[in-house]
Amino acid sequence: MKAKKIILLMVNLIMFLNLAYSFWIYKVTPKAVDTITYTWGSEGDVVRQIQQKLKQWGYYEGNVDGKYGYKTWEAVKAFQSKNGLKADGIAGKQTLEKMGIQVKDSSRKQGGDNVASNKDLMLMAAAIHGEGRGEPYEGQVAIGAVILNRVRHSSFPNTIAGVIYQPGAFDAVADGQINLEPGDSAIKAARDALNGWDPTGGAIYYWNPATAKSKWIWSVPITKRIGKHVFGKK
Amino acid sequence: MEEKDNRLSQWKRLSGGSFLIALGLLLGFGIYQYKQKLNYRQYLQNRFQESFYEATTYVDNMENLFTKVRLTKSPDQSAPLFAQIWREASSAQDNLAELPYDHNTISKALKFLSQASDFSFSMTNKAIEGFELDEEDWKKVDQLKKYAKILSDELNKIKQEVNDGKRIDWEEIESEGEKRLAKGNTKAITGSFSEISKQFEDIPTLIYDGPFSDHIERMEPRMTRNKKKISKEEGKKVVEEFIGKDKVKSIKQTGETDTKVEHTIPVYSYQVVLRDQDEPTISIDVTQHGGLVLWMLNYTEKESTEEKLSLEEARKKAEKFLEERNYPNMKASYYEKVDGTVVINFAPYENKVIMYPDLIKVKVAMDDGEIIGFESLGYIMMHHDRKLPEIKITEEEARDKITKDFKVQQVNMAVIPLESKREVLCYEFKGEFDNQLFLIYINAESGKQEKILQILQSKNAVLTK
Repeated sequence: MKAKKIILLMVNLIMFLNLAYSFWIYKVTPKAVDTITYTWGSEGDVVRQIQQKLKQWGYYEGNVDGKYGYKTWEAVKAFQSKNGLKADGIAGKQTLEKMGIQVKDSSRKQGGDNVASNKDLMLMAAAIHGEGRGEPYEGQVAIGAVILNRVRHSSFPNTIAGVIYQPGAFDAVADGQINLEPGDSAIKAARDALNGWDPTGGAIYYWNPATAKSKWIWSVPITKRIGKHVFGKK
Repeated sequence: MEEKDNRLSQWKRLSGGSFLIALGLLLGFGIYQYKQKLNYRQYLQNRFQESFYEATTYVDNMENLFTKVRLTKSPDQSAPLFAQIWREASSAQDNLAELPYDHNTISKALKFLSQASDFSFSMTNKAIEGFELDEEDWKKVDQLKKYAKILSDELNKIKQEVNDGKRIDWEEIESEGEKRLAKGNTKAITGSFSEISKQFEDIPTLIYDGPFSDHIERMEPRMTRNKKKISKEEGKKVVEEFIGKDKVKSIKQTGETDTKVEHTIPVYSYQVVLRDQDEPTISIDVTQHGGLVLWMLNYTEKESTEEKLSLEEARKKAEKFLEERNYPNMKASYYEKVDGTVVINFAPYENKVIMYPDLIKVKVAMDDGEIIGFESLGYIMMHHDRKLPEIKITEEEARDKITKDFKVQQVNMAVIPLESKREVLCYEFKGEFDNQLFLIYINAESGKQEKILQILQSKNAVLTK
C-alpha cells in the first residue's frame, strides 16, 4: 500500500517535472530567430562578450566559450533581475545595452550609398556568417566565392538568393542559423567575394571532412583546403 | 488511526487528481504541437507540389515550342518562338531548383534547362539582328528538342502516377539521395528523379554564344598556358618579390591544387607573416605555370579606418604597385570605397584602346596607402596581344545610333567582354541621361549596341577618366 503510494507520488512528480521542462524548453528555444536576441543555443562573438562581462561582474562562473548554455542563461537572468529588466534569460536589445555591448544596427551597414554589386551583400554576409563563423577570414571569403560560382554555374539556380535557399544546399539555411546577425568579418568577406576575390580556384562545393555524411562528395576533386573546409569542383 | 487513513486517502485523491490534470495538460500540449507540425508539413508539401506542377507545365511548353520553331523558315518567324522558349525554360529551371532533390541527381537536368534558356536567348538575338540560323544551330535545336521531350515524358509519367492516386512524399524524396548512396539501390518512389537523371547522363556538350555555354568552363588561361611549371620554392620567391623582401618575415606554403581538378588554374598557396607580426596576415596564390600572382589578400584587422589619403593618392599608389610588378600601362576605371579601403579596377590601355577583359583589381588601405588586396583572374584568363578588327563605323555614325536624349561627355575605344566571353571592339560613350551616368557601347564593326551600363554614382563609388 505504502509502496504504491510512493510510486504514485514519484510518477506524479516526474510528470510534473516533465511538463515544466517541456514548457521551459519551449520557452527558451529560439523560435523565429530575432536578429539581435541571444539565448539558449546561441553561439559566437556576442555570446563571448556577454560571458566576459558577466564573469567580470561576478554573475557568471563558467568558461568564456561563446556558447549560450545553462550557466550563461542563469547568469543573464541574475543580471536582468538585478538591473530591473524582465528576468527571462534572453539577452535582447535592452539587456545588451545595459551590459554595454554594442549591437550593430544592420541598416546602418547597408547604408545609403549602395552600388549595384551590393544588392545582395547582407544576404551573402548572413550565409557566410551562418556557415563559416569561426573559420579563418580567407575561409569566409571562400564560402562567398562558392555561392557566386554556383550562381554562374548552369547546374544551379541563377540568383544569389536562389543558390542560398536551394533545398538542402546549406546547413545554415536548414537550421535557421542564417538568421543570425552577421558579424563584421562576414560582411567584409562578403564584400571581398562580391568584388571578385576567389580563394577557392572556382570551387562549387565545400564540405567539412569531419562531418560530411555523403560519400559522393569525396569523388569531387579538391581545389583548396581552408580551415575546417575542403573546396572542390567537378 | 481513522484520521490518518482519511488524510492518506485525501492525499491519494489529491495526487491522483493532479496526476490526471498533468496528464491532460501534457496531452493537450502534445496534440497542439503535433497538429502544428502537420500543418507546416502540409504547407511545405503544397509548395513543393506547386513547383513540381509548374515545372512540368513549363517543360511541356518548351518541347512544344521547340517543335514549332523547327517549322519556321525566316528569322522574323523564329525570333518570337525562341523568346518564348527562353522564358519557359528559365521558369522551368527556377521551379525545378526549388524541389528538394539531391543535387547530384538533378544537376544535369538543371544544366539542360539553363542551357536551353540561354541558347534560345542567343538565338532570339541572332534572329532579331536578321541572321538566318545555320545548320549547326538547327542541329542544336534538334538536340535540345530531343532532351526536352525526354524530360517532359518523364515528368508526365510522374504526374500520371499522382493522378492515379499516388502521392509524392517530398520528405522521402529529400532523404532518398542519402539512402541511395548508402544502400546502392533505389526503390521506386513516386516523384523520384533518378530515372530521369540516368537519361541525362550522356547529354552532349552544347557550345553557343551565351554565358552557360560549355566553352566557358573549358577556356584556357592565356597567361599561363604553355608556360613552364615552377617549383614551390620558386613560387615562394615570387611571393617574396610581390610583397616586398623588406616586409616579409616568413613565408609558408600551405597547399596546392589537386592535379585531378579539370578546368582550373593550378596554384601554390602561401601564407605570409610580415616583419612586425607574429601570425600570418596575408594569403596569396601563385600560378604553377608561369609563376604569376593570381590573388592576394591581407586581412589584418586595422584599428584605424581613418582616411588620410585622397582617392587620387590611393590610385597613384596602386598604379606604382602595378608598374613595379610588371603590369605597365594599366588604367584605372572604377573605384569603390568602403570602411577605409578602396578597390580600384584596372585594365590595360594599349594604343588608345581600353582592354576591359584583362581586369585587375587592387585594394588600397586609405590610412597608409598599403596595398592590401590584388586580384587578377581576368588578366590571367584573357590578356594577350590582340589583333583588333578593322573599324568600319566612324565615331559620328556610332553616335547616331544612340538616342539624342543621351548627353555624351566622353568617347573612348574599348574592347569589352560579352557574357559569353566573346570580345568586341566598341566605342564607349560616357554620358548622362535623366541626371544619371551611363556607359553605352556601340560595336565599331557592326554598329550594334552591345551593352548599356548604368553607373550608380555616390561618394563611395566613382567612375574615373
